Amino acid sequence: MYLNYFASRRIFLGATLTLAALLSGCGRHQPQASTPELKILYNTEEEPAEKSAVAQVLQAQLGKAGIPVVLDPVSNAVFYERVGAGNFQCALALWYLDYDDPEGFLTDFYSKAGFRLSKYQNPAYDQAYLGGLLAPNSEKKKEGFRSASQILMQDLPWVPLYSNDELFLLSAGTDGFRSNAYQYYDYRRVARGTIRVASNIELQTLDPALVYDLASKHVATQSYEGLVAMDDHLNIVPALAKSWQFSQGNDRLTFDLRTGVKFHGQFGVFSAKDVKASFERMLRQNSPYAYIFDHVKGIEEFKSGKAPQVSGFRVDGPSRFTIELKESFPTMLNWLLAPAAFVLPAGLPAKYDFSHGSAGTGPFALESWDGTVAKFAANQSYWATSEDGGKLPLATSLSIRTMKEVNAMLTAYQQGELDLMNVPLALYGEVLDPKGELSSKYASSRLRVVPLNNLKFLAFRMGTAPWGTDSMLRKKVYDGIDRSSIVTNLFRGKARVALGVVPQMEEKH
Amino acid sequence: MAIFRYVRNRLLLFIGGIALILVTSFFAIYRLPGDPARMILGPRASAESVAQFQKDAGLNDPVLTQFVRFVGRVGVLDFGESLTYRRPVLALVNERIGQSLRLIGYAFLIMWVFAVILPVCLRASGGTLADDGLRALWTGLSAAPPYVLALLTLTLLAGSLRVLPAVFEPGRLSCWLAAAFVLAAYPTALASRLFHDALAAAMLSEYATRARAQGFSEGAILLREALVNALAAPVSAIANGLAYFFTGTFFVEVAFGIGGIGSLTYDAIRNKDITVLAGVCVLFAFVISAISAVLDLAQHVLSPRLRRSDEWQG
Repeated sequence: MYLNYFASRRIFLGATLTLAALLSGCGRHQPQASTPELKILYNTEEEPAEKSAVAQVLQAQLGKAGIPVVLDPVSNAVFYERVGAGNFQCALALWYLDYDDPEGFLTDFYSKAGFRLSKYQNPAYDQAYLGGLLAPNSEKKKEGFRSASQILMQDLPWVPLYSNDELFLLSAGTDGFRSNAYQYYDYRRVARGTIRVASNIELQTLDPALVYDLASKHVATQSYEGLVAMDDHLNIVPALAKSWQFSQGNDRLTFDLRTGVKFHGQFGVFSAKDVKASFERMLRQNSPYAYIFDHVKGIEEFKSGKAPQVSGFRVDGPSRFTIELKESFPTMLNWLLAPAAFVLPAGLPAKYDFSHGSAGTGPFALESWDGTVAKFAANQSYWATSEDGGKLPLATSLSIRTMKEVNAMLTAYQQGELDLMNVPLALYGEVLDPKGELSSKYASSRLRVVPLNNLKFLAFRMGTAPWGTDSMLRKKVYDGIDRSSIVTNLFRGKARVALGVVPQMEEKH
Repeated sequence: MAIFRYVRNRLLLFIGGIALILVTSFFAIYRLPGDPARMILGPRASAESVAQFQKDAGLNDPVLTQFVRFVGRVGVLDFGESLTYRRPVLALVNERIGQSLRLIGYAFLIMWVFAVILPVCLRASGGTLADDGLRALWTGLSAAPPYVLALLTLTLLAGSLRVLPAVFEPGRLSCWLAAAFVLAAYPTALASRLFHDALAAAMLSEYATRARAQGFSEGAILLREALVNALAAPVSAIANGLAYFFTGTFFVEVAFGIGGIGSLTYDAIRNKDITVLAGVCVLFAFVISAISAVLDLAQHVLSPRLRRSDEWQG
């Protein structure tokens, strides 16, 4: 009670002071005096060119709006340490989705979620979010998520900036390359003998169960597959499962599996027991994506070691697999798109070396990884066929190279040593003309622009004064940013203005 | 007997050095900012997962317990498992070390050719000006930080002149030589200066004057008298150069895209993979200390002056 009393007194006092400062400011034409300094933390090792450019633009734009900004660039490790510990005022951050569902953005504001960048807490939000998450049908789900999104627009723990596109330079013969808003790169239809691609991001792991970063996902998705996949129109399509069905109450999900699919190497033929083994292995490996099975029956017993198996993973014969859920949870199917839910053989050795081979069913089998290059050979017995019934993949080999130096990557592409590369922001000036068209220097290449379902934003550390306790201040930041200028000038039009935490949702309004 | 005493002292110095490195490298790495569990599990991992990871990796134990465990493991050459790759550190190092050693080998070769063999050939055949020019060139090159020099080399050879592929091809000698050239720049400049000065001093020495009086040509004096005496200088530069070679791989491998120990360490720092970092630090320290101990002994045996001074002291 006392605490509340003092807290309300302080807010009252604060509000009075702010009002007074504002009034006095108006009189003297010095509105800056009332706005405290904003310190923006950012990671100089993650999308470095983009981060520093955007940070500087924000500093200038907010400065004009009367908000003095101090930039705080730090290394990758320091960034995550400080953000994890909540030791920051405001962070320039990014969020990439894994599947087409607003839940992917909204999850981080749920008070019981894993990371909670902003350390945001609001019982009304939790209620709205859970209402959407556990909704029995898509209408109710939309309704729940929309009201959750609206609460965030009021509180502004994140100030959205933009969603950017992914650009690719394609040389002749690589038109068959497909990718989507979630950065699943599909080389199956690239009609070249050998495909050589490069990326400027380092790979974290070759074990699909442990993948959470883009570079690892890029490599893992060539060799491994899940029950379902996402096509380039963002539909969930069959992969190792031929079809699936939810029960009436959305608390049971049954898959009919493909038969006769072979694993790479000596691991035999795929069946339902491999799915169960892979899911349980992923949980035992303490995967970053372990949470995707939080709604499965018997998960707590398994995690605490009381049960040797997850009772909710049921093998009903060799070609049928069922997931029993604790409650209605239609999002389960989306969550199965994560690389952590890819299927490996049940007989995989505990200490399998993922750098000298692969044990998946995917179109390309890994031959070697030497620290910079992943080399693959086509999986000769791959199950999927092209639209006209032809054999896939079309290429016989694939190599994915990590090149940390972006200019070296571009030189390699120009010299024909790479067939395809993604174009980071640092190279926009070289590859694009001022209008955002492909520069005439690259006339023989083709530019592919893929809008990503991601969000770049400013995250505030909620609960600490002044920026985390005063939504009016955050609103001032929200209003002080000229997003379309960032999109046109910095990204040469290869990005979209984001007005809400769930960008698509705000656009649809 | 003096030689045994010298070997014993040198061995004690070696062990002491290793112990010191073990302590400093462990504590320096332990004090690095960033939580490895969060770095490796990613932003979406739950607090529960992070706690489990910290427990499994022993990150919650007191620092001293972790240190004792670390030293105990190092004693039996077990560096634990990489936090990122979840594979034994030794297996990772074993996989990657070949590329780094190859790079260092070529750099070593370049250093000998340009700091010792070529200058001697040039001087013996009267090309003093060419030798001075060469030395000035290396000094100039060594002034650029290795990473910058690497990018310049790539831009020039691969970008403008197109004599080198921009993508590193382990099958092509030219790729290795370009990377090795960058790695060798600084040690070559240093060794060539030291060797030049030692050679000049030797050419002015008494025995050179005596040889001159006996009617030998300058070239003959250089090869027969001065060279052997001047060689001690580059040999000691090599001992210093080796440590540089190992740490230099770090920049050169990242710039050229070579998947050796340097790249492994770079990624480990970025991901805060403390087991790999500690493992690589200790292994490097061990190799460098061992090589410099062997070189010291070799020099001691080879150079009569050093041997005698030790005998006088003893």
